[in-house]
Amino acid sequence: MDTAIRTALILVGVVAIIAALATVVPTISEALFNVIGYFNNLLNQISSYLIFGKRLFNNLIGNGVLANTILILSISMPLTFFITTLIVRAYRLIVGK
Amino acid sequence: MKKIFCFLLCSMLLAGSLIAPAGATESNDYAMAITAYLNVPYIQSSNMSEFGYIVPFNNIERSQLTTGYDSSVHGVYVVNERLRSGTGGYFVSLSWQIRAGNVNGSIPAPTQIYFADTLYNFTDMGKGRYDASVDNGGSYIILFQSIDNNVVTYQMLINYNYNYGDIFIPLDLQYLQDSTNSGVLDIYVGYTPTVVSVSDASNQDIIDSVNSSVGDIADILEQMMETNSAGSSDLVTALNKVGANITSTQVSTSSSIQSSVNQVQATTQQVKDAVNVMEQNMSSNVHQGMSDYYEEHEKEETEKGNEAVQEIIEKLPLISEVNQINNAFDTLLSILSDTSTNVQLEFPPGTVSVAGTSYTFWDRQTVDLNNVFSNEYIQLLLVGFRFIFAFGFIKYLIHWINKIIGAVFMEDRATEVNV
Repeated sequence: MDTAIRTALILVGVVAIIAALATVVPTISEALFNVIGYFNNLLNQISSYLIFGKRLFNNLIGNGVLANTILILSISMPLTFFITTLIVRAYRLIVGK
Repeated sequence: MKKIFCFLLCSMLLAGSLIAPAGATESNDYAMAITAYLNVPYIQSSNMSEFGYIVPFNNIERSQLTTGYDSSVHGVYVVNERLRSGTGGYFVSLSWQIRAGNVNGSIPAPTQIYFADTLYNFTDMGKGRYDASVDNGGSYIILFQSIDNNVVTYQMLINYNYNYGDIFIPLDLQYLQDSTNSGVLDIYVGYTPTVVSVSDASNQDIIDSVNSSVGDIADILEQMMETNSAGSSDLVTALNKVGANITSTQVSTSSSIQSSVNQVQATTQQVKDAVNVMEQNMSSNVHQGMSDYYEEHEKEETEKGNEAVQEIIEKLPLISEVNQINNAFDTLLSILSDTSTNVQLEFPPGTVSVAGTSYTFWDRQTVDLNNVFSNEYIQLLLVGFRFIFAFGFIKYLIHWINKIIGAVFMEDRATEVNV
């Protein structure tokens, strides 16, 4: 019963947040797309430097594929931790443990 | 023997009724005549004109009767055009009465009246008689019905064949007098021949009437047997003839039943075929109707969905913006997935345009580190760097793996700490 009440409350909260965001979503999305647009332009302008940095990193590691693997692991491990933490906390929030 | 007679008569009557087909006129006449015979109401009326035919006695006969004896033979004729025009045999239900009365109209007391009648060779006296006889090839089954004061009622079931002509029932009144009063008695005889047509009753009516009358028949036969057993052989003969007729009826009934069954089967098949055709038509119509409905309904829903999707698309970011995101992501991914080790960077030239005049501060500059990484000393230095980096990266992985495990099993670890 407690779990059901918690679930219902969380759902109500999510719906309320979505409803509240619905009014500002167009503005937020527009701003977000503007930022992405700027980021894209910036990325295009610095791409040559980024490529240079990536190739420098490849030389430091000694192999391009190994450098990619290290890079993916370096990014994915913290990301996995945060996603797992989010799921666990959501589960405990619902179950109440 | 009594029970055998009772059983034979009841069985044959019941069987004749049960097997009577709807389309067999002759056999139905048998059955319906039997039913009519069984259903003749108890005749008690003193008004003899109710009967179809009255045999009067003249004064001479009356005077002779007063003497207690009449040698003349009187009879009842059954003249029926329906019987004459028919073929085969018929059962005729016949009833008649004999009533005794004084000349002055008074009725003598029952104890003072003795009835005596003769149907052929029956000569006994008593209050109620029965006899079974054969005349002109027809079978008579005569049952004494009742005696009420000065009236005796008889019923007769005649198995009549039209070839034998009119039915003559000889009625020889040998002795009839008032035992205490020698006044003149009057005699009335009437009869009600009955030939039942096919449409007068249904087979179920026959069965019901026979069932209801079985008990009465048994009682009557019981009374017959108790009164006199002299006519048993004649009764057996009559019953045998009745049985023969019922047998012939069974044969015609079987063929009629078979034809009826064939007709019913044919009709049933026709009905099934018609139902199948109707079902197919209904099914095709239903499918067509459902298809039309769904087509129209789906069209409406599709139009509504398209309109909604169009509205959503209008509210969503432009496709160019979405493509811009994809381009940025692709660019970033391609940069990060670059496996080349060609470390060479080219800086653009420093050029500024002012008032239509272009000013160049520096030219294109190229930085090439390939030579650096190809240096042997640098390579040796990189070995140490890579060794240290490997340990550091492994530690990094272990760190995050521990954190992930800790996030998953946070509760258990907390419990362990608490314990």
